[in-house]
Amino acid sequence: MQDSSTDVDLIKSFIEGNESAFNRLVAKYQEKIYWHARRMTGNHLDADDVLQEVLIVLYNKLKTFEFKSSVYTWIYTITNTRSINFLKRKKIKSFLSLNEITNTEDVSSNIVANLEQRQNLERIESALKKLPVKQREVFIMRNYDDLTYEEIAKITGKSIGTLKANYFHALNKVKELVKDDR
Amino acid sequence: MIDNNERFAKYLSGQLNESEKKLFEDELASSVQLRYDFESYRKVIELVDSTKNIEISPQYAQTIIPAFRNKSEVKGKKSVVLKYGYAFVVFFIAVFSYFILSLFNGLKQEPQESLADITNDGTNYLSAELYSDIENEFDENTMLTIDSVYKNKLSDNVNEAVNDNTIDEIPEDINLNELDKYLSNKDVEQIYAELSNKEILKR
Repeated sequence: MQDSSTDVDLIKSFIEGNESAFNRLVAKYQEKIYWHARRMTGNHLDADDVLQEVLIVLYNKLKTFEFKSSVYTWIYTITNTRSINFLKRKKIKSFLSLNEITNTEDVSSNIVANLEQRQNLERIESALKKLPVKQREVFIMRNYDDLTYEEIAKITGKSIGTLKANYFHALNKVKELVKDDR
Repeated sequence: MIDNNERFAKYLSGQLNESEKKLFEDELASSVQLRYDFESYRKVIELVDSTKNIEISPQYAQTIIPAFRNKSEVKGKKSVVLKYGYAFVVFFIAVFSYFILSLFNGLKQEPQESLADITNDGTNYLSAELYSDIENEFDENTMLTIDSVYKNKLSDNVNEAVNDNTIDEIPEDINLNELDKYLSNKDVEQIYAELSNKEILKR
């Protein structure tokens, strides 16, 4: 987890009324927010929705940020929570409207230019989508964000034992899912 | 739970010491299952690594903040509309309540006007002509109902007047049969209109 005095300066500047400081902070973290949301939701459109939600939360809550944790940890936690809430809402919506036509058109090509990267992204997203959210969450945090179990426990509020069990199951499932998919 | 994944991870990231590494490679060479498991793990990790540091396109990146600003602006406008909308609703309710209360007060004052008529005009009673019309129109049971409603109306008016202290001269033990002479023409017309309505006769 990284942090720097620049984040603190940007937040203080924003609190003093400098709107461009917020833009700079967003520019710094927007990719991290996007990719965590993307891996959690599994597609660009949903990730974009989550990203915008996170920015709204940041904008409204930055003034109350207490500098007790690193800015990145705080943003990452918000992104994770928002992603999970988004998935819950989506699940509820899918239960309520059986005939709902969801726009699942893949617009990855607009986001990822490299063909091989795009194909690999589709493969891993396809596998991650098949995991329960709790397992997906810990898989992403361990493998993509290189977080330790202690850090994940702080973010998710779950015990390390639970996280390890979830990761074990997640990894084994992903292994099964990707081994024959080429 | 036996978690070979941790060993695999350490092996791939070079975290095993020489003896641990040698032991692992020996096991790998002798166990088909372990080799299979290790290859599956390596495949996942390679896939993860290949998608770890993808950069989003600059075109999309440039739209993120403007999209947020647009949403905030729309939300801000909505908030203003909501705020003034609430103010308007509160204002409307206040005016409406005032109107209703005024109307209610006006209705409450009606008996007083009737009482004024009662005291000033002794001729305010149900005219024989009107009573005859009612009698011709309805049968005996209906007339009994009419009579009952009529007396109740009289009773209500007098009780209200007594409660409001607007009348002292009517004794409390007054016979209800005599009360019709205290009704104004307006009261009589109202009673007749009510009774002519079939709904009231169904009570």
